[in-house]
Formats: sequence, structure tokens, C-alpha cells
Amino acid sequence: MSLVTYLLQQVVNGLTLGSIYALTAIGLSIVYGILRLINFAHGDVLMVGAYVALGLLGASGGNLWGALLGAAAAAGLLGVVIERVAYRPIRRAPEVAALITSLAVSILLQNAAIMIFTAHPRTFPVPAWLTQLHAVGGVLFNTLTLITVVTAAVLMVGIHLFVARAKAGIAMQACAQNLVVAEMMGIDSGRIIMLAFAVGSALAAVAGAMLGAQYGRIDPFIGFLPGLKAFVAAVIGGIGSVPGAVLGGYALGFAEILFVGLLPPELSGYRDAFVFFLLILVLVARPQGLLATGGEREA
Amino acid sequence: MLSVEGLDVFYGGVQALRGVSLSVGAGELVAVIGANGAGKTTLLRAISGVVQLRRGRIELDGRSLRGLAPHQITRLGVAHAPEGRQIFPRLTVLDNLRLGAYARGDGQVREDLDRVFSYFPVLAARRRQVAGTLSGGEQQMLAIGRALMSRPRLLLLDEPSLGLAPLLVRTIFTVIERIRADGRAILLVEQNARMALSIADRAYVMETGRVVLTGSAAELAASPEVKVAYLGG
Repeated sequence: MSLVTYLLQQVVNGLTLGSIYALTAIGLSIVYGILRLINFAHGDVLMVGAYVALGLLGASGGNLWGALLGAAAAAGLLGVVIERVAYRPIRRAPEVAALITSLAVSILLQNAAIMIFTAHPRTFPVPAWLTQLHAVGGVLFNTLTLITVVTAAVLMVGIHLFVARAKAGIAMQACAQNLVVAEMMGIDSGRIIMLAFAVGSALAAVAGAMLGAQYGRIDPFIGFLPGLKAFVAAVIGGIGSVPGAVLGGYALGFAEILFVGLLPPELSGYRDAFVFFLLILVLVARPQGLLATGGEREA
Repeated sequence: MLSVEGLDVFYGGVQALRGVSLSVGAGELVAVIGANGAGKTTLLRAISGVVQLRRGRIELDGRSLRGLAPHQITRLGVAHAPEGRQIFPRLTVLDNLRLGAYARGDGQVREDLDRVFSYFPVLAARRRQVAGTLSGGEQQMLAIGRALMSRPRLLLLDEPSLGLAPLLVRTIFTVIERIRADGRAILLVEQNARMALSIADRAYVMETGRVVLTGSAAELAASPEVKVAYLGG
């Protein structure tokens, strides 16, 4: 394998991993943008999405799109319920209270998953057509990878257009820029916050299903690291911004793959440490992130 | 149209309003003047539902606004151009204005945009510009224009002259008079007492959370206390 082919192969791998991080980071970022809440339970919503997708794949005899749609819908609903039950009652409390609550929700979801599915990993049944290998110029990838990258890209363009153009999307931006004044405009901020949780959780579920399919198995803890890394991605990109979350997600995916792919194999066990080292570097050099959303919100 | 009686508002343990009562009739321009910290902004924030009342009554055409969320109060016909403009800095001028009409679904937004642009032609020229890049005066115009987009029956204006050059203040006050002439009631909070009294029908003077004086704008402008305290002798 030539060096060029090898590098292109790493680009494919980076895109795949980056797609999953970027999809997850969007939900964290839009919720943070409005509520200044770091939602630690976001990764666990991803995990629930993966289990729902697994169940639907089995029940439907391998209908991938049905499983993705069902997982997105279930996770979207879960996100709305979490917001309503856990976060809304403490909306006016200090931000640290919400942070701790999100940790509690995270633990709760993990333990609920252990109770329902046990802590043992389950095989994620990937339909055979998804594992078919393709080779383009010596670069290998399977149908699943192609679908992961393209579906993620389509979803991200869609959500970006929604936030930038749709009435509810612009209202979401208004809430992020000034929640009190957005209310004065007649915007029911409670509904916009609900929408942010629904959309973000649905995207995380799609990421979870893809993650499960890529690795071939899932357990109740698979959301933890992707959730944390999506947070790193959102911060790197500039938290609060959808394009920032996408950029940060891809950047992190590529960096992680390059670290594993280019450095000696004995170092690849440090990939997670490397990701957090990267976070520290960005926070030191450019604390507002790559795509800053501008000044802090007033009031 | 608006009737406020016996408002008490606290921020934590600090009392910001002490038994404030006031009224605004249909089509009337009423000014509230007073020093910084007198409670003027808190009064407007209480009317638009942003801060909660400890005691008192706020009614719009006989309907109580107490306990309603800000977005519900906006839908009843009260619009608020807040202190310090507080436009949405990373949205365009046009998106800011459209958000002002967010609660309306009557499809006449176009007409209202045209009216706002006729009040403030500079906003039409800058409609695609990101609002954070506007000058202070233009941002104030945008804040007032945005509030008008909801077709309010009552417009709350908080310190529209704040930080603006005298010429711009005059421009904005001329438009405020036009808005009133077009039939909207206005409750205007101002530190610039001279300008406020020059266009208002009636006025209230606030000090440390209380209304201490009230009367027609002409009476207040002529009163020795107001002259000494707010009009520079």
C-alpha cells in the first residue's frame, strides 16, 4: 500500500469517526447555547438510541432506515422528557446545579440500561448488505461507512439550514443570544428549549446507532466517551455554534485517527489521553473555540 | 388602558419598587423620569412580566397581567424596547425585525416592515447587515422598530436616548411622536427629563422605588422641584 493510499484510508476513517462526533456535538452545542448547560447525559441518550436501533433492526429484520428513524424519534422524546423532568424545574437555579443534575441523569440512564439490558455487551446485528466492501483507488470502505458519512453530512446540512433559515431556528438563535429579550418578542422559550433537546437527542441517537454498527457491539457505557469527546469537539469548534460543532467533530475525528494511524502502535492506547490533551491545547491557545459565536450573552 | 397599582418588587432582599401606581390611557404618551436606580427599568420589566411582583396589580384593558409569562404578555399587545437596546447582535436587521413579529400569524408582516422602514429609513438600507455591526443610534432604532413589529397597543420604551448624540436623540424622539400620532400608547422611561417632558402628555417622577410626583408634562416641567432635580435648575 502506497503512502498516499494509506493517508486516504486514514481520511476515510477520520471522516467516519468525525461524523459521529459531529452529530453528537451538535446537540450539546445548541443546548449549551441556550441554557449554558453542559449536558453530561447527552452521551447516554446516544447509548439509548443505539439500543433502540438494535432492537428495531432485530424486530424489522434489518431495516436500517426504519431503525435510524425509530431511534431518533425515541431519543428525541427521551430528550424532551429529561428536559421536562430534570432540567426545567431548576431553570432558575445556578448553572452548577444543572451540571450536577445532568451527571445524575447520566448515571440514571446508565443504570436503567444495566437493569434492562444487563451490563454485558450485545452484538449489534449489521445487515449483510452494509458490510459489503468497496475499493476506490486502493482505499477500502464498506457500505456502512459510506452511509454513515453521507447520512451525517445530510443531517448536518439540514440542521444548519433549519437553524439559519427556519422561523423556529431563528427563534432558537434569538434564545441563545438573549433569552429574556427573546421571550419579550413573544417566543415561548420553553418550547424552543424543548425543540433543542428533541433535535439534539435525535441526532445523538443516529450517531449512537452508527457507532454501534461500526463497532459491532454495544453496552450501557458506550455513550460515556463519545459524549465527553463530543463536548471536546463542541468546545474546540466554539460551543453554541452548529458549524463550530461540526468543524470540531471532524477535526477531532481526524486528529484521533491520525494519532492512531501515524504514531507507533504502542502509543495508540493513549488516544483518549491525546484527545483531552488537544482540548487543553485549544483552551490555552483559543479559549473561545475555532468558530467563536461572538461576545458573551448579556444578563 | 394600562393600570398599575401598588407594585412591590424585590431583587433578593432589596426592594426595587415600593407601592408604585400609574396609568396609561389609550393613545397617550406617558413619561417616567427619575435618576439612575429609581426603579424605572424595574417598573417596565414588571409590566412585561420579566420580573415577578411581590404585591400589586397590573391590568391591560381590565385583564390582569400578573403571573403571565413575558411571551404571553407580548401576545396581548404590549411590546418592550429594553434598556441598552439588546438587539440580537449576530442576526441580521431583517431577522431582528421579523422576530419582533414572531407571535403574529396574520401575514401582514410586510406591511409592518414597510412602516418601520418609513420611520427609520436607515434600517431599510442596512436590512441584510448583522445587527451587532450597527452604530448605537441604529441599534436603538432597531430596538424600537423590532418592538413595533408586534403591532403593540402599548409600547414600553426604556431610555431610548441612552448614550446617543443630541442630534440622534432628537431624530428618535421625533419618531416616537410619530408612533404616538399613529395611535399607539407609549410608556417612556427616560433620564433625559427635558426631552421626555417635551413630548409627553403626562409624567411620573420616581425616586428610590416610589412615585413622588405626577401631573401633566407641562406642569412638571414648570415645577420647581423637577427643575432643580432633573432639568438642571
